[in-house]
Amino acid sequence: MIDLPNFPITKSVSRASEKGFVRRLLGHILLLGVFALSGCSQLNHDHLKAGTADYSHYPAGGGLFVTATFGPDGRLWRIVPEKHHVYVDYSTNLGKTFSAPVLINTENQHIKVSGENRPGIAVDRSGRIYVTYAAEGAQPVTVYFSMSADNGHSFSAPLPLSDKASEANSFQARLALNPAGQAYVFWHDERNRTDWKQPGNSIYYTTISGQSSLNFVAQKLSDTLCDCCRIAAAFDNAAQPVLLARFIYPGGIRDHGLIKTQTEGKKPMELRVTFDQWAIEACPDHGPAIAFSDDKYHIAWFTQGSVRQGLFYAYSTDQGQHFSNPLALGNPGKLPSHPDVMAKGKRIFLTWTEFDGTKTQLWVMQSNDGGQTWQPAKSIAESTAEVDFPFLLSNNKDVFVSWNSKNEGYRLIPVN
Amino acid sequence: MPLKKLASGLLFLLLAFLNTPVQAEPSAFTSGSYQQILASNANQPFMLVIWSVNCSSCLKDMALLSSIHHSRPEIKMIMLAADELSAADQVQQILEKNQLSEIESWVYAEENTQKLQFSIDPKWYGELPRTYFFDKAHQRTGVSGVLSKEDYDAMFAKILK
Repeated sequence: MIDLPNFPITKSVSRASEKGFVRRLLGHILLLGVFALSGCSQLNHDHLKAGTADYSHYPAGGGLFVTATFGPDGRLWRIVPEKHHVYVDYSTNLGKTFSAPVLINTENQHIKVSGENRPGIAVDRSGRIYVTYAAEGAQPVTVYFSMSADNGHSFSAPLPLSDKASEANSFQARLALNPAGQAYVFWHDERNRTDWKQPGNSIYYTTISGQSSLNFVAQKLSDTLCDCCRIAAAFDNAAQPVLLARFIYPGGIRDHGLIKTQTEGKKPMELRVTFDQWAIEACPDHGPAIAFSDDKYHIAWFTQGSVRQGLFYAYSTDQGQHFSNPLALGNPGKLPSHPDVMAKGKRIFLTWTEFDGTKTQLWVMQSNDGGQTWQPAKSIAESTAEVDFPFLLSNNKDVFVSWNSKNEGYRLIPVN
Repeated sequence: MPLKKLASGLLFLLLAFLNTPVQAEPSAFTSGSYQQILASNANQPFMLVIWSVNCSSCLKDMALLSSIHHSRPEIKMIMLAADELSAADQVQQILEKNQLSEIESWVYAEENTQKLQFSIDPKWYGELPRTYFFDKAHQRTGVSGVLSKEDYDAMFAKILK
């Protein structure tokens, strides 16, 4: 990591001011005192109970940025980050109730999580559970990995994924399984930044063998990745990863590009696919979405470019060389945001949120002909509190939106 | 831990805490704060800079903001950090590093930051930095992204007219 005193996520800035330090130290001592007097301790984590979707059974009340996935046995698995700990739990009744959370990091960490910097969870065919999350490590932010080979009863000690985790920040990991069940993790990496004027981060990735040896080999995919937008991933017919991300193009244009890994050690293929001409030096914090089925790529993204502004969907029938005319999503007066897309054969699903100043509405829209025509968008849920981004999930029978909010807790909402 | 020792330790730290010199800290920005800022700047032009400690683009902008603050003292500058109140120390530290600590500064202090964002501008998606230039009548122009010196000069000419 380059030592640039003014950069936000370097140690020099995140170090507390004297006053803050004393205040925190005082807080810790008081906390210690409380523990000493009450006999309360970390052991609390051994007595976690099962509960409903509202996180009242969580030691620190759960968190907002929760990721969920279906396992091969139909169980819904979640990763739930709190301020200092990360947990995994599961539901056998489509999110109505959840198992007792299993603690991933036995040692306290400063967990770094946001809508874009999300935790990840994936369950392969054999039932192995993989999780990723970001926390402060040797650097201000590091992606950690842990796995369970015993159906989630226990997890391996979390390890940094990046081989340069002690030297450079790694964050905004995207964990995904290819159709053969191979786990991939892609992340933002700052190891190649020698000058902060140079645009963007690098994308690095590793595959996870699922064997006991957790020796990750990080490979570089691309440079000039926009610093604060998460990476979207899908897999093509050859089970090769296809990523969609916001890149910084010449002239400071923050539009989107596809990155495809190639077999036989060939260089990754890069294609610019959105041409909204968003020339800006800013952090949009608004990553895209991608899905693949029937030889088509489906993408959804946010832009405030000079050509178009808002949320859009398009598909490509020629491996991303050309895309359909962007279809605008949502009500432009209500800040349509944070899209996700899922492709099940010719059935394509989109979800996003809209905000009217008081409440957030969750919207879905469906196409039955590969994205050429769409049924009217439907609002299927709402919240007046803080909300997470929505994500489409499928248990191979039905399609759901996984949506978390401060007041309503976790919801798994059927789309059809 | 022996209670007596713990108690004396706590007392020592409490005294140390109380003796620490008080720094200017950002004010808590809540749902009525935007209107409050407008009211307390009635009939005068000003700029409101919204930024975050986690926004790398914003930090690239700080040096120029600092030089503008010192070279154009007639332009009232207000900083608003779109961070949690718990990041107030970090906010203050960055402002101090850039010789901006003496100017009016705020930090988001409500959980539902989307509501705060909407209270400022219902058309803004939250991208940072975001700068608003207000003329005397409080006609405003909102611009996203890092601005050049020329951009600032052009906006100042507009609001000082």
